[in-house]
Amino acid sequence: MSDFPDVRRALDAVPVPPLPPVDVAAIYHTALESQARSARRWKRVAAGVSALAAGVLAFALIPNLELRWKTPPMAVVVPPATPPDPRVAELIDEQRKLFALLRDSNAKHADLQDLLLTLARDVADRDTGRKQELAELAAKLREFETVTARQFQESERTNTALYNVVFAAKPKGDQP
Amino acid sequence: MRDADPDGDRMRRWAAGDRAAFEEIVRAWEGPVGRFVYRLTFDVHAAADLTQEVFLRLFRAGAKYRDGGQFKTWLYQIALNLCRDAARSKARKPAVPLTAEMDPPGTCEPGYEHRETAEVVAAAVAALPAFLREVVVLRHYEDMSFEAMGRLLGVPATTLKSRFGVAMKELEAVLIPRLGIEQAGTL
Repeated sequence: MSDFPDVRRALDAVPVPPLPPVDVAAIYHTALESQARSARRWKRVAAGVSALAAGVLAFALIPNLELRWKTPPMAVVVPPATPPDPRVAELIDEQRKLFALLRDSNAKHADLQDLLLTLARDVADRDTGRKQELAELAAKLREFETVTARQFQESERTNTALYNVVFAAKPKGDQP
Repeated sequence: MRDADPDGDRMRRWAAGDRAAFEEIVRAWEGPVGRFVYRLTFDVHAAADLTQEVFLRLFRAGAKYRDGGQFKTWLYQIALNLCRDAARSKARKPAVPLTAEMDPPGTCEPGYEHRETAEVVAAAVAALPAFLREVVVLRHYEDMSFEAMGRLLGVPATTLKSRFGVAMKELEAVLIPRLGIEQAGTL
């Protein structure tokens, strides 16, 4: 700093005039305006791009565009046959097997039900026969009891008669 | 040299949405930036406008600031770029021409000689090519090291030392005859 002392002194003699203070509010205002301008510009750009995209789309669709004055006949659209998915085929096979198993089990179930009904009927028939036999036996037993009771009464009457005949005819004190 | 880094702190606060921090930055730096811009342009109105523009640019570019303790360099870079743009956009002429009319010595009002000296020096500095004037302003008035100037201007420090020597010699060649300074054998 020791070089050119005279020039340095001369340079130091140059005063700086007072400058107005920086207007911070103007900075905020300008920045806001700039942001608004930028937003408007982007909006215009977006609108332009959208219009361009719409134009390109319309240009691409115009060759496929048909103008019709009447309702066109309804066309039946048959979708092309597509090869079945192997997983779907496996599922169908499994379902078929399940249906077959179900059919078999239904048949077995019906057979078993028939057998059970037959057995039940047989049991019922047998039961009815046994009941008849028991009723017959009971009747015979009641008849036997009636006969026995009558025989007991006849025997008792006979015994009484005999007792009266033997012991009631002699007077007391008589010697045989 | 500051102990802490208040500018970095203010920039962080401002990035976090504290507008008062931006105002603190403006109030802290409007003087140095204004003087710097004036010494590059020697035009009060242009300096006021450019200082306002500097802080507007700072406002817009605030989020891009990366705290590396080089706030002054960053801010002066903005100011320098604006001054260069302004110089390119219009053919600038010195605010105080070298051919300014001067009253004869002894007839002037008090302080006139000082003012005359200032006008002559200002005109001499303004007449320097921009790349020399920038070096003189940064080195002499802003007391910036050649390394810092190198970071700011993107020029090697040795080149800037050479430019500063050339600029001082040119100023000496202009000022000594005009101001009647006797050469002190300082070269």
